[in-house]
Amino acid sequence: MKTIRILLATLALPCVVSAQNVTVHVPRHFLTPPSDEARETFNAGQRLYDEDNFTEAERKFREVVQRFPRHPMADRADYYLIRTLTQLGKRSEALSRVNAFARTYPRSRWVTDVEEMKIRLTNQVPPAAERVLLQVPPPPPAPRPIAATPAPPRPFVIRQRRNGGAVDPEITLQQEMMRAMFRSDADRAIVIATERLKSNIADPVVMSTLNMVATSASAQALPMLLEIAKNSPNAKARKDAIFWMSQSRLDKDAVVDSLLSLSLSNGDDSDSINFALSQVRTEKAVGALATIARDKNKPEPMRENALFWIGQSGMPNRLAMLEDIYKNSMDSSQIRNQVLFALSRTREPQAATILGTVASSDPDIDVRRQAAFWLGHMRIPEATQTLENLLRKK
Amino acid sequence: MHQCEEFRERITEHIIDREDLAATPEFHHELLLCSACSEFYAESREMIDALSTVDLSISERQWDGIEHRLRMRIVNEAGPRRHHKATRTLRWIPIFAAAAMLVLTIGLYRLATPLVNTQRVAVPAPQTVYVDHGVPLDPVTVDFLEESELLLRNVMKIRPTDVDDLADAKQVAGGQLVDIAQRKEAAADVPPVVDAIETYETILRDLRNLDERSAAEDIADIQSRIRKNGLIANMKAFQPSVTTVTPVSFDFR
Repeated sequence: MKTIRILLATLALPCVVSAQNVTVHVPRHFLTPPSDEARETFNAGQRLYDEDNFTEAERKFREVVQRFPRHPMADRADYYLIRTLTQLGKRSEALSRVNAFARTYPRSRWVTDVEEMKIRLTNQVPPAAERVLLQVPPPPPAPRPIAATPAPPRPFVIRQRRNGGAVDPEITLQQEMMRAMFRSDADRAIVIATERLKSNIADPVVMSTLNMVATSASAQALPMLLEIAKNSPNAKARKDAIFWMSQSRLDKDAVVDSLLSLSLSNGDDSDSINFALSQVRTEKAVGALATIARDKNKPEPMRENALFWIGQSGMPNRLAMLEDIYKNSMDSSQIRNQVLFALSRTREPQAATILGTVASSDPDIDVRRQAAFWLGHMRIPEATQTLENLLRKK
Repeated sequence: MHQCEEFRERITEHIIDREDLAATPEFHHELLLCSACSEFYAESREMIDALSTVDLSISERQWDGIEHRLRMRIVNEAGPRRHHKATRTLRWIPIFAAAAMLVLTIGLYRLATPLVNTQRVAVPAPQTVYVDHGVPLDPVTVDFLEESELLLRNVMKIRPTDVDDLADAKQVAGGQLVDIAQRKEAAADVPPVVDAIETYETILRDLRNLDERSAAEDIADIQSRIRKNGLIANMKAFQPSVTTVTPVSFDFR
């Protein structure tokens, strides 16, 4: 049947052409789809880029840009070429491509990405950055805004996307400006960030630069992070502020004190507080975790989480600390079990010895079983030996 | 005949055990036959190697989790397949075999077990829940990985005609791009996570700038790239695993 249809179509086609002498719209399925060499080359470039083979990736992206300058993917290939050149340390060529991008592809969707790249490469605050950043930030994101805001003049302006999508790419651009601002004048950047937070407590530009606040060494950094951690209605913002407090360059003891005070008032973010304490990496911080783990007034999940991070802290006294908590938790098999788990995760020979003792002496048979279970999961020779010794005793 | 799904299922455990499959003639032959499986092997091995070079103290259960996720990846990538009639019949053979083994085991157990002293107690055993943070990542980065995994799963299912889904994916991609630099810095102590996030960033940019006119080709390319980089598996691998241990209770009276 298919053969007959093809034959009929083949016979009919010349008749249509001769009768009407017009352009013939050949059905698509009669033709094999043309191969898109530009796309294939671009995809090959992306594959190489993903494999960290930047030299070959550069060749492919350059080929697309040079051989197919009018192809719809040329701007995308150029963006990837810029990224690849940056990876290869060819900064000056990357910058010259960045500077030519808007002229070469005036209608490109990749202009914002390239502008972000420019700020990252030059580490310079654009002249209009402060004005742009001090503009009233957009309100919390609505599900899908439909009204387009008028387009002010370039450069570094808030523009709406032509594609009608709700994503405002300028936020990432503003974020890049804010980062550059932090690098050049952290105190001024904190003032701008504080201003923006007054308009929108969950301002995405500020929330995405908390790392810059933390590492800025500004005296205002810790108070600002603490303020967000204490009072932001946005859980993600609070958790992030708590984490970045731990990465602050300021006095570690002050950070631990602030985190401990938070743990007293804020039970919702306990996981974040425990993790942050573990990342401060001081004896005082691990001591604070032990205080949380021992506190019988605190919820068990919070205490259990603290136990885990004591084990992961890398402090020399962590095993002794865990053993002590075990001995003082005879009223809670749950906590004792979590101590065993935390001990096993350290994979220390001494931890195997402690687990062996628990496996033979804990008053609760289930705790003894858990000790044996975690010994079996330690995968160190000492744990195997301890298990063997336990079996011999029987 | 080479079956990607079956082959990947077979090699997963060997990859996790860091065996050199190329040295095993059986596997080597199939790896030469199928470039996709060869890539899968290389990427998975790289991931495992990368993890082993960083002392992240990945737990036993985390490895089990990775193994499980690799399996899930195989299943996800395989998608719906047409089964040959013969294959369908063959599929039942292991089930019948397993059932037969079960019957045999129960029978032998009954014969071999003394009827006194050891009995299973029906009392529910206490459960203990353990949360293992295989890698030291802050809770917001963990959430970010979870959101990323979800977005990637959605993107893998998008068809170019799903205008709303496409718009949603673009919106989420834009939102994630805002946070990505901070997340990379937060994960700085875990290089494999940074690597995964870096690749993910370019996927997000491709998504955000996706042109509706060439959506069909672009989406197919993005999906292929997600698959080839094993991004869904990567995003899952670094999330904490939760294990519930229920000790089996016996009454040794």
